[in-house]
Amino acid sequence: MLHELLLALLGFTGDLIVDEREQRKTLGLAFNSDSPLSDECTFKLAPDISFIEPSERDLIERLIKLGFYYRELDRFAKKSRNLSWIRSVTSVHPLERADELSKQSREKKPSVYRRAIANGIGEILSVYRSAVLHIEQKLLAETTPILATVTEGLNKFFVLFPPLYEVILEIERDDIRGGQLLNVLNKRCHCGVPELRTCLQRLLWNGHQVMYNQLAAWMVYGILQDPHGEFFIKRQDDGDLDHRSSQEEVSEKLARTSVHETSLTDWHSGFHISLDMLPDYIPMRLGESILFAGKAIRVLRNPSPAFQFQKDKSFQQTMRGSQRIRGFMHSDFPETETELDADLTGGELLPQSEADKIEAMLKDLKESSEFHKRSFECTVDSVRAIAASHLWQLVVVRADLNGHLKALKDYFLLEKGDFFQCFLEESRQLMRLPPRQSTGESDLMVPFQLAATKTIAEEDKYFSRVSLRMPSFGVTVRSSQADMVRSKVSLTGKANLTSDTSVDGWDAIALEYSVDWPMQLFFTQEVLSKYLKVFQYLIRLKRTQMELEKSWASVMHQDHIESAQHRKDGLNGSTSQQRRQGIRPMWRVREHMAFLIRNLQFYIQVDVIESQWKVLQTHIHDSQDFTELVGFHQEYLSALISQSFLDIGSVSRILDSIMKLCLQFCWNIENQESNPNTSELENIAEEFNKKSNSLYTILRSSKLAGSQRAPFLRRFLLRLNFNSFYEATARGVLNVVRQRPALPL
Amino acid sequence: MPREIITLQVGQCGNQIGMEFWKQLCLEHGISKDGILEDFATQGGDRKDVFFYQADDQHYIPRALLIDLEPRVINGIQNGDYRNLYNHENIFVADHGGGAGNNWASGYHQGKGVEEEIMDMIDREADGSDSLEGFVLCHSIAGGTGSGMGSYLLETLNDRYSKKLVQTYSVFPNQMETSDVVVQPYNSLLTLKRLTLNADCVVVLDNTALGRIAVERLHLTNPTFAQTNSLVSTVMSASTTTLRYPGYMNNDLVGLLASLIPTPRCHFLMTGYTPLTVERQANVIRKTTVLDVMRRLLQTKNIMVSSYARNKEASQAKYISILNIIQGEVDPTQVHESLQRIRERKLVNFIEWGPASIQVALSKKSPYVQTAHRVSGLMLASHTSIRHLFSKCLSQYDKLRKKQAFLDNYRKFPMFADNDLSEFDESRDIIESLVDEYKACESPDYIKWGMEDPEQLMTGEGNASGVVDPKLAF
Repeated sequence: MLHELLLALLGFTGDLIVDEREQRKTLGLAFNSDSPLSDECTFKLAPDISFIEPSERDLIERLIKLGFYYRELDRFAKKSRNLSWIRSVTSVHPLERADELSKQSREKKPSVYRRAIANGIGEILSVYRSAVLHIEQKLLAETTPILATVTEGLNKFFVLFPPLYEVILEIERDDIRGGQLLNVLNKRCHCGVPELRTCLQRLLWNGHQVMYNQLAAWMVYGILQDPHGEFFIKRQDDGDLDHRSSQEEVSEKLARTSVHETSLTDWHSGFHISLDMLPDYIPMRLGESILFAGKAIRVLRNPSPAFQFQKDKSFQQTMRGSQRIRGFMHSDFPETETELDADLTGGELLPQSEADKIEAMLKDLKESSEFHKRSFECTVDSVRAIAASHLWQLVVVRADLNGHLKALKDYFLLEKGDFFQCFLEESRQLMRLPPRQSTGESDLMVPFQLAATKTIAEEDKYFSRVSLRMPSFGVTVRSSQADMVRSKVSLTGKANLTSDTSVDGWDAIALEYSVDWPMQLFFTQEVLSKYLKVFQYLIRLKRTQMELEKSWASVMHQDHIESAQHRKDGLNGSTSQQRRQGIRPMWRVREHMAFLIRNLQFYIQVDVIESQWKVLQTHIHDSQDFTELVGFHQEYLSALISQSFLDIGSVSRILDSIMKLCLQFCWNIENQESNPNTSELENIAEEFNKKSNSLYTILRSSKLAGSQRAPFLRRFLLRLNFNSFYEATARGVLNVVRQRPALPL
Repeated sequence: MPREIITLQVGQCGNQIGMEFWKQLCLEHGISKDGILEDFATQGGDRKDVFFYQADDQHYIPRALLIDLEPRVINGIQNGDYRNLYNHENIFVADHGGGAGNNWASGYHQGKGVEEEIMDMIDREADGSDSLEGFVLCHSIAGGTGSGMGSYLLETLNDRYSKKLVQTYSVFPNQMETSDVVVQPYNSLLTLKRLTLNADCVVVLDNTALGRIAVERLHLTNPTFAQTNSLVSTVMSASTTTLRYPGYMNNDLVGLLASLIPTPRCHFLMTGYTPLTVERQANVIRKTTVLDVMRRLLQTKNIMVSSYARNKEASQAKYISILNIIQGEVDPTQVHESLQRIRERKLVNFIEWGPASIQVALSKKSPYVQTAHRVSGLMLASHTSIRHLFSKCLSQYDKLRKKQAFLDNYRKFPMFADNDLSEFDESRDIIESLVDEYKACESPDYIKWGMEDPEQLMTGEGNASGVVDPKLAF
């Protein structure tokens, strides 16, 4: 009888103690296979036993619950630990096996975490088993076996088993995996029963082991070791399949050549944090740090072959001989060699000592019995710092970030003014006509190359990265163009000013900058497109400015020619006087235009670009951290855009139309040098005066004055309105605008 | 694009300041006295080809023509340290070597005589340029060669290279002291006419002011020509920095001048420079912030043109345009603050008839020239008070002309033959009109000037002819 009980305690039922469920099953009763684990204890003392007192029966019934729990926990543990190769072991129990098979078909995803938990449960169960054994020995030793011994011996398990059972029930029912599992355990840890708490903590510890292993793989080797999609860092594209990721890992290892290509997408969008799997007690910030650290390590460990080649060329040549180099050059070189290379450079970029340090830190964490949020945070932060500083080292020191930034400033922000001046000069004739759809780009290549040879020569090694693009129409209509179209529409109502405005097609000129590994990490497509936006704006300004200067020079020349003629012929220049009188108002309009454009340029150059550049430089100088750098650079770019008003629709639209008017004005003057079509010029002049006035009004308007941009607007305004001319004009004191048409022309 | 500039240095003064200018450029670009790039000058970023070209043997050669009618100064150059720098084919000294005798007419006439020869030299230089932008003429307006021959060259360049810009650095004589050149008012007047009509931009360097600056600012008791000339070369080299160290803007002469000259005739520029140093001169300027530099540039004591204006007139004088070229380690955020402070304190008085502001161009500094100052600045400005300088010239001319003094020297030459002094009268009218235009610029009604009723607006200034030559009243 006692042995029957002891066996039952170990989960084996018999005649005396029966499993109701099995009974029901054999009776052919409906068996709800959907609930693999019943909520309630199904072990019962056989009801037909009459020799047991009801009090004893109660006691036994209470005891055999443990047996039930044991059996279920054991089953869970075994099942969770189940690997295909140990199935034969579990198949001892045909029943269980069938059960398992059915489960396995349903529940496709095995879980590493669950297995770890199962291991933990196994440990507890073995304690329980030894307790039962101990009781048996005790019972055998005593002459009068009493039930109380059993009760006494197993007492503590009454506290442990039911909650554990609840846990596994929850796990089974909701198919909890990965981080969520940790979450569940962590929540349950917060209970007042010390035994239970230690027990659950042990389980949690088991779970954390897995997490630490994954963290180690991720943050030491940059490998995502997560066959079942349980880690809180995920590949972006693994939505459909989970074993894909592991396959990818393998394939990546096999073909490291392609790594540098994929590593970019890896960096930008390849990985993300799966919120489901992130345990609640790990804050998002930490998750992001971990994500970053891993990605950084990935980059550091997998440098692009080109980069390796470039950096290690001399080293390689001396160390390994030419055979290796050949291996480099060929795209599909043997795997082992690449592996070595990768290690070599990877080791160089991320010294082994640092990797060891990270590993040691994680190991420390792993070994501590409890999860300390503080120390975890500490470790993650320091790992992140290590990764970030090495990435910083790579990007700033090795890949010459500053050089690239300067180059972008030179070309995209037009600091190499002479180059663009030359380019615009050379392409001026071309740009007078609308760009041809098909050859627009190649047409521009000639002046571009010419300008390059004239101004840059071989001096600038970065120039080779810059290339000119002329997007064909319709495909990449930029917002600026759209603005143009809009302003065109608004203008046509006024006069026939816009009859020949197709030249604006050239505003779509674009620059491209090719970046090598690892600079793509820094100069993303998004970043470059921002640069491009500023560039297009600046080049338009420059074009306008140059046209205005051209017309200045041409009028000056006209003047000289006339004075020369006068000298020769001794003519009394009444005709030239007439002409001068006629052109005088035009001089003033031109001067206003030039003033506005020039001051906008000065403003952008000094108050925006140079000021922001200085800020960026100090930041770069002080920072040792890659993520910080990216942030600073983003700030720099968005400051450039917002401070040059590119994102204030009202201002940028009006500036656009002003530039357009300037160009029209210049072309008009040039086309009719001898006899300006005064009425058309007048129209342009009037339109320009209106626009510049409204620009001033907008800049002054209270709506913008209160905004965040107010300081920059004020800066521009200060330059524009330095002698209060705009203010006076706006007040109508001088009435310049209205008076103009009345002037004799 | 090398927007090349050919420098013509004419006469004694022109060659002296030219020589200092080339010395300074060589220092800044790291070019040795023999025209060879120094080993240390590897930083790049500069554009030597605007002012120099490279010979086949890698020598850098100034695009400069050294022209004089007497050999003294040029001989000095040819025997000096920099003798190997220049292209000897570009040196012209009159065969007779007798100079122009401080006579404008003589210089002009001789210029006509050697036009062919000089234009050949200019053509050759122009052919050697990829896209010649213009000419810079260094001369003085008081003597004979620089003024007379310079005038002739200005006219010829206008004919021959009408599409090219002509900028001059013109040294105005010291009008405070009695000059050894008694006919200097004549010479000045006649040259001023050409500067008005034939130059695109005239940088006025007033010897009076240069001397004053040397004494007051540099504390030299007896400034030598070399010392004042070094002031000039400082100004010249600083005003070309944006051409030689290209940045965002003002990378060519057109851009530089167009921003300063809003109205064609008012193309006379004043300059100011701070902090000023002459070699071996301990400097007392302690702090050099952008604001300091910009503020000092507006102070008359730093401006290289003397103000002959009376107080009342001086208060009415206005800036037409200002360009500050700031070199050195500048905190760009300071620029805006400085502008704001200057505006708040009303340190600068601008014209009212059009928009105007202090344009500030940040420029690089030569890495090869060590200076004690982190920041230095050059101001190029068009200021209406320059009219007082011209008025002074006019009044001195009038004094002389009234006495009919020294006119015989001029009558010897074809232009004034047969007692035809109409050239003087015409020149006087032109300068008068120039003075009037500058005066009109001080009024907010300038836009109406010359348009409706010129006389009405010009009541203040006595108009000798009574009627403005229609040609001039533009």
